[in-house]
Amino acid sequence: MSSPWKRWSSSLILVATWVAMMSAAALATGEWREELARICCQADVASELSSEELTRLVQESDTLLLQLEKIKPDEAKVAIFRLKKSRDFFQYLLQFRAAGAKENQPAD
Amino acid sequence: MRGIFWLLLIALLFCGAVVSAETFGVKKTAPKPDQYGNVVMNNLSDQNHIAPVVFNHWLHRALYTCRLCHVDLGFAMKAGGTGVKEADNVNGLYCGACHDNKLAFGPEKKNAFGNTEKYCDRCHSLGKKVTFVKDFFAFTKGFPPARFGNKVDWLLAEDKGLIKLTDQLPGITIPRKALKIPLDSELKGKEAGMPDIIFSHQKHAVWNGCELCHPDIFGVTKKSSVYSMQEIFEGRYCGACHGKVAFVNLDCQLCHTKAVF
Repeated sequence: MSSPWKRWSSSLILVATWVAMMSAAALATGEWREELARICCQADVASELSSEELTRLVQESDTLLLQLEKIKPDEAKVAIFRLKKSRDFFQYLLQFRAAGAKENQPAD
Repeated sequence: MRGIFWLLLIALLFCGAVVSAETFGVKKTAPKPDQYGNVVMNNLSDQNHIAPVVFNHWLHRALYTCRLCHVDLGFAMKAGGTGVKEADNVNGLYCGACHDNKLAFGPEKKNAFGNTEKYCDRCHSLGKKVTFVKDFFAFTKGFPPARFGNKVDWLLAEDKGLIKLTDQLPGITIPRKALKIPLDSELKGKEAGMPDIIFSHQKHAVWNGCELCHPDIFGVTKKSSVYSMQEIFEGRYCGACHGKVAFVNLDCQLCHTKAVF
């Protein structure tokens, strides 16, 4: 292969890699924002969700928290704060229901 | 002789004042209505040789719900707990979510002549004589009165349509679903003869959402449902808001509302 062609192809590969990286980053950013919105908006209707649904939301929150902790803190710190608020509320509801169920158990 | 008498009298009065202050505590001065709820934010200001920020709660609470800032925008419930940096604001976080020259004034703006005008003093105002665009007394003129705090009954002001609180900021906050509000609950008072409290979930949840109070302020343990007025005065439980920003907890009958027969 001639030298200019080599230079062209390597530049093309570099540009393609850069575009792919940028798109992946953009996609990742968009994805976590969507996932954050999906989880957090459930807090407003959480009292009507089943315990299974709440448990799943807690698990999903934990997974997303792990992802957010890998992003630059300056970008994600408010998202982490927001997600923890919702996650802790789902957990609170689960514990509240468990405590209520314990109280309502018939005495032996 | 007379001089010694006066000296002794002054010394006696001074000792008496010190002893009674230790015994009965020192009376706190209530903040002025326009200063009630103000928070001084001084995480890094002193280090950077700039006046600390005086955050006026009264204006923000008159425009936005509590949860907008304390849930969506990430502001902690305790002064100094957020750790806001200038870079955060520039990146559109915390104060910068609104103070961007679009929704609210930003830190600087180009004027008609192309010169940059800086508005640092409008926030970094501690110890400075700053004339604010919105004056508390002009803003709250004609609002329903209250006895303490800002001396404004904010709930009634909203009911009367004098204020309309924004709960969501499109593109900034997470879109919300219609809030499902639990029923009101009754809390038993410990003092004999003190009316029980009718706790309105409706009133609290509309401004705060659920996750602002649960579980950080009111957890699920037994201790979280049995607390004293002393703890509330110390800023815990209801005292996280009441006595700091929401109506002052000296207004007993605003919470202890159940009829006594």
